[in-house]
Amino acid sequence: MMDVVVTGLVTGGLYALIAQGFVLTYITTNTLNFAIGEFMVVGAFLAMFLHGNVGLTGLLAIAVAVLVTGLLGGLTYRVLVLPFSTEGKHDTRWLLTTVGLSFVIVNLTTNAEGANRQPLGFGNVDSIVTVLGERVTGQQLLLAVVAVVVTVLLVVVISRTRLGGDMRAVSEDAETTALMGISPRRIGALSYVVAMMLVGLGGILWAAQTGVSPGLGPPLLIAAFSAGIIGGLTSLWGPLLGGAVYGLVTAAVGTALGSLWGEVSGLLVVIAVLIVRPEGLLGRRVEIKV
Amino acid sequence: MSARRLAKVGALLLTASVATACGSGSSESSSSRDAADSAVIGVIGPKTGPAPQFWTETNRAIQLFAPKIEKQYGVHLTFTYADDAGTPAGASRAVQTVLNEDNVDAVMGPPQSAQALQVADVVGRAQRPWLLHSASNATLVPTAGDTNWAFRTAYNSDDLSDVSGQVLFAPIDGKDPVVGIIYSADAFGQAALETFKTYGEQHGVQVVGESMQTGATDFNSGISRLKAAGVDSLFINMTSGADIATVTESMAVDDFDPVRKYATANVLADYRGLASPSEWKGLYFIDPENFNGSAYKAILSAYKSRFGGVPDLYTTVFNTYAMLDAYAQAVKTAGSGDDYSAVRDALENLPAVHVEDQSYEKPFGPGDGELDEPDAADWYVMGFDDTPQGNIVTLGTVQHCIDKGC
Repeated sequence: MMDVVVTGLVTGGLYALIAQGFVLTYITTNTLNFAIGEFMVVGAFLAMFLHGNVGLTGLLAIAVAVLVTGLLGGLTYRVLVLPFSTEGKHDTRWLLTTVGLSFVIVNLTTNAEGANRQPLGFGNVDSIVTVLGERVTGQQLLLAVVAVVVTVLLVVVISRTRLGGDMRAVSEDAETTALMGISPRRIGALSYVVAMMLVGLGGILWAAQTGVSPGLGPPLLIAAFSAGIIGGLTSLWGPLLGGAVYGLVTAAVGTALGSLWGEVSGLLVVIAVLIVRPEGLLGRRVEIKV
Repeated sequence: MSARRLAKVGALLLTASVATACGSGSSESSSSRDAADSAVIGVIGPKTGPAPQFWTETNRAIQLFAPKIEKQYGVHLTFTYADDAGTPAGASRAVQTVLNEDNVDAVMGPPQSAQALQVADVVGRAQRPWLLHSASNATLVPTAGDTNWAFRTAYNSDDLSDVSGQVLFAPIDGKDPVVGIIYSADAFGQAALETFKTYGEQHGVQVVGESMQTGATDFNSGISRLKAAGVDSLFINMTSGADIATVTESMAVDDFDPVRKYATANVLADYRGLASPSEWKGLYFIDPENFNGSAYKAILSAYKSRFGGVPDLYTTVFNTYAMLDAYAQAVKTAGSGDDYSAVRDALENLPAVHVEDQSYEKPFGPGDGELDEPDAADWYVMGFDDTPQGNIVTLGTVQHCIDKGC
């Protein structure tokens, strides 16, 4: 039983890290980047190129790749999200443009690099470690630790700093905040930069274990989105809880009934949460006076 | 958001999509048609889509070996190429293109069974020789039958399961084993599961199946179930070597080390770059060809000299060579590729197919479109040594491993 708990929690850490990418953009811009899986791919391919072709050290390659992925995220917000979300909260054209972007990235990377998985060549904690008496890969544990650290840092920044105050203000009421001299667009772009940096980091660390390919992102996209929905897209702690729940349920049901049922059970939890508590387990319910 | 801006972004996306998908559905010809002793082969494969390695390896094999075979048999082969984009719909378009626009004398591919299934009826109705150098699912893509237009140089999945079954179902320490199969959640995996279950029922051996989605983050829960079921003879029937790496890593995490561990030859693609020697220790694969035999060595040497590395899909290169050899001989015998029935008859009556110094005597016949037979004495068991690059080592024939262990 403990093996299921440990495996579920550790795997959930990966989902949580990627899900933070959804949450960060959602709380400040009310939009989601559905090309998030492909940003993982971009981050991983960039890191592989910088290390293998440019000759940067592993850490430097990761740092530069994460930064560039973040900047591409900011550019995506400016070009493909902001112009398509100008008609208020019911304007969801950004959904189509980000999905379109994901197809473009998949095609570009597949045609450029092929569909096969290639070793990243660095960054893998090639060991099996014991946690609470159960064995997990060092890389999965690293991802889980990174997810927790990132979440704590985000919470501290957003609750204790001026920038965090601006972000909270924009998430509360963008129009009024704009009248006070804070640019919601700048905050939105910054959120996309930071979110895609996290996604890029997750992609690189995950690819270090499993290899880089254009198909790296999609399997994680579903799990990460599920973690975000379960935990709540308006809470920075939400992805951690959502990732843990999704990871635990899929591991437990997968072990009891088979892997495919494990994945199905995770999605059933998402549906159940949407029915019972649409804002997610830690999400904030917003009531509007009519 | 103004309409002008929307149009700009739309145009940008459209341009990028078209640029990235260029070649999809198109047909490319390598040279023009000749007269006697000549033939045009329409090669269908996934130039774009999720598995372009099939396209790459097929084309490289043609580049490498077609000139030599043409010279050897005194025939002229022309190739036209059509992209199926790795989808059944793409395959359907591609086969219409090569048959109706290029008027080919024979169709080679598609290399993947689901796409091959999509074109089977069309090729059969067109009554052209169908050269299956890769599609292996015998249920989806059968050869032979009354019309017998399909000829396969790849092993078929039923034969693989049959030969693998002879090893995997053999007793361990005098007792029946508990056989486990980890299969990909696609037609390739499903067919293997069905064959193994049937084999198990016939021999009274328990078979435990666990499926895995391509690209899954881990397979810990599946391994736990196999371990709990007491599996001591395991077959990993995944389409991708990278997924096999995910499986063996989860096996290491769960400390699951059954007495027998076998995988398909797909383990050659990507696997060794993503796994470690400790994970492939004792992991074997089965193939009708000996990858350390002189024929394979000659092919790999030529491939490395020309393309600077080893193929992702060894077997596709080998089987394309075998198919070109068979078809060229048949065209020579028939006098021309456009006498389709004569070419088919010639294929059925070939005295031998040659791949470098290796020969297959009477490979095909009326009602027999399969080059390989499920004879354990003719198939090989191979694995990897404990170096970081994992050189391929041959342990012996399957029969040898059944009789004396490997």
